[in-house]
Amino acid sequence: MRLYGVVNGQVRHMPSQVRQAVDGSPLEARLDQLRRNYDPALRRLIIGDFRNLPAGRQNPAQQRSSALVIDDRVPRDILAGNYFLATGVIGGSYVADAMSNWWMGGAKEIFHNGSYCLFGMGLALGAYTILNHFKKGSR
Amino acid sequence: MVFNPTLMKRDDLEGLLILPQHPDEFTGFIFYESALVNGSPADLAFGVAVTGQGSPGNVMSHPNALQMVVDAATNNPNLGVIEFHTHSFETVRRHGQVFATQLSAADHQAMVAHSAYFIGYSHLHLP
Repeated sequence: MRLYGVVNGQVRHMPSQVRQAVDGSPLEARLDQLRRNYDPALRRLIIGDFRNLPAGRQNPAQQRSSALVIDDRVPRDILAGNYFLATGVIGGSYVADAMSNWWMGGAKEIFHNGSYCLFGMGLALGAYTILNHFKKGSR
Repeated sequence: MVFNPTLMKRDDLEGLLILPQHPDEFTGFIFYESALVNGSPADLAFGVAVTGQGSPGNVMSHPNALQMVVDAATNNPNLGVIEFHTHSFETVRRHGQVFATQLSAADHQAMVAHSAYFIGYSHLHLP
């Protein structure tokens, strides 16, 4: 199973971005402080304890599998580079998400969602930009 | 554009992982603020709200809950919100294995359309 989210109008595959905070670190205190800072209406909405939700079919094997999926093993510099490439050249949204997961089948996602035209335009624009850069540099 | 990594409390993260194991789909929001963590920019996710429970293949936020999120984002400029929804194992069984890893076209359109509520509030980049 995968979890998707939207940030700034861009759909993101959440496990590629969500990382676990380390228990017991100063970060925990900061997170608690943030949680308390917001107004009561928001705090009522926030669910910190999922145990109140219906349990569904709790399958330990599935849980282990999910935990592996959410474990982020994509180096951050690569992730950042891909996002920059995708958004900088194409300005697209979903393509950016797919690019970040390129090695996990992102290319397939692009074609499945009919964004290949945007992708092609992006590649062409990128090639033009790079060639133009070298052209200027050689003067 | 460079996205910050999102740091989340272990309990919240494990809660999110449990959601897709229920037959119904869920939708909701992750709340965060951007901050420097050990000198590096990160989004600190300090809360998760589940705003809707649907059926396999269909879920939407309860209007009241959605309005609370919109109000919170409007009243708190530093608050970032990330909308999410799950595909359950029942979604996959009924509608196909492809939905274990892919968004439907309708999912994608809906999520991007909803994010329009939060433009201007959803992300704060630190230098």
